[in-house]
Amino acid sequence: MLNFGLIGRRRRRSDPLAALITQLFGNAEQGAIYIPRPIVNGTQALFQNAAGTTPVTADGDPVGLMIDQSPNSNNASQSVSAERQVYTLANGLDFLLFDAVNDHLLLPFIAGDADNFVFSIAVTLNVGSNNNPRYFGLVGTGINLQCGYINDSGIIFTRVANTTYNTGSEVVLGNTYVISHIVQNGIPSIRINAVNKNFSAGGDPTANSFFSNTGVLGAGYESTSNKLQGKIHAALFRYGSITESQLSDIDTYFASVAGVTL
Amino acid sequence: MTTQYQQRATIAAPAAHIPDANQLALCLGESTQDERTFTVASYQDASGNLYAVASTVTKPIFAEMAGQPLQAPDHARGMDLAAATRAQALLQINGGIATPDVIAVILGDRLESAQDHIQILGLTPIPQDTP
Repeated sequence: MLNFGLIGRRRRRSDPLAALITQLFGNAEQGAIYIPRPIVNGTQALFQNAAGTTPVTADGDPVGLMIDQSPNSNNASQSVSAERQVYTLANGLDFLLFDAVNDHLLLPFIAGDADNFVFSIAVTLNVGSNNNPRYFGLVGTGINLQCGYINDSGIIFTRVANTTYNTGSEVVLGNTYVISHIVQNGIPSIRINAVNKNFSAGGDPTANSFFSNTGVLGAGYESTSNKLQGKIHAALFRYGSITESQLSDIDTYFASVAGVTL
Repeated sequence: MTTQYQQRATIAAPAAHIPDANQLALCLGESTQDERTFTVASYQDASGNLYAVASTVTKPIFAEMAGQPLQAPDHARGMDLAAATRAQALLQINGGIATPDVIAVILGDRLESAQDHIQILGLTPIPQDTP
């Protein structure tokens, strides 16, 4: 009996994803976490079609459905064949490869506390990207869209409640980063590779609300040319307050799956 | 295991041919939603002509089917076969730059970059407002 108990504890400790999911979503928090590997925790997590009937099994397969690893079942999908991104396994790292033309995944509408929110992503922006490619956004048009993106000068932008904030030049194109766009008590902030950064320009970061809508991974919103040319190794979004310890655990896990040294 | 998607196709549909090109995409594609393959004409050539562009990995059968008489697939029995056939007649595979009178396709290895294909097509994205 004692041995069984030890083995059980060791297994739980050795599964950092399960621990992260429990920590972030264990109290019925709303959101989603995406890990682009064909099989996650023993279960098929990527499918070629949005209906989820054809599994992704090989490097190079297109991805039309990515299963949410949180208990919320907020799966990300793409039902147009040509708009599917490509699952890639390279140098021991799994990721989705976006072509900057039309690839993107749609997230379901997820309601929650608009003043307390985090969106985290492990992302590589490839050299040669153009038009300020977005890696996350909300479906819509005009000035109401909310998004995270990087421009060709390595400046990260976040847009909350119709106000745009940006960092200084933080990102080297072609490198991989763990980036968290955080809104807590209505105040937006940003964190890059486990370091909290200040905004160098933009509006007064107080008393804003995240504008809830249907989300997009790999683009700012549908039907634009602002698509991501690069890789997404992991992504999550989650409503609710978040602690420094939780952010640190996101950084650590996302860095591990993306090959980032913090 | 090796993927069946061994090629990348990048397709430029001139603005005037977007509806027909979508019927062709529906016919050759795998989903009932493929009639939304070409949406906004967000690329332009050197003369300012507008195009909707799609890029995707494909199975080798894509190129074979593109050259054969079309049949409505099981997932889209009610599709507009006449429109798809009109688009098929405009296909120009690996013929160089896009022009308004053809649906230009660059077909290459799956590891080729969509951006390289677009460069071969002679297209550039139309700048959009930021954010």
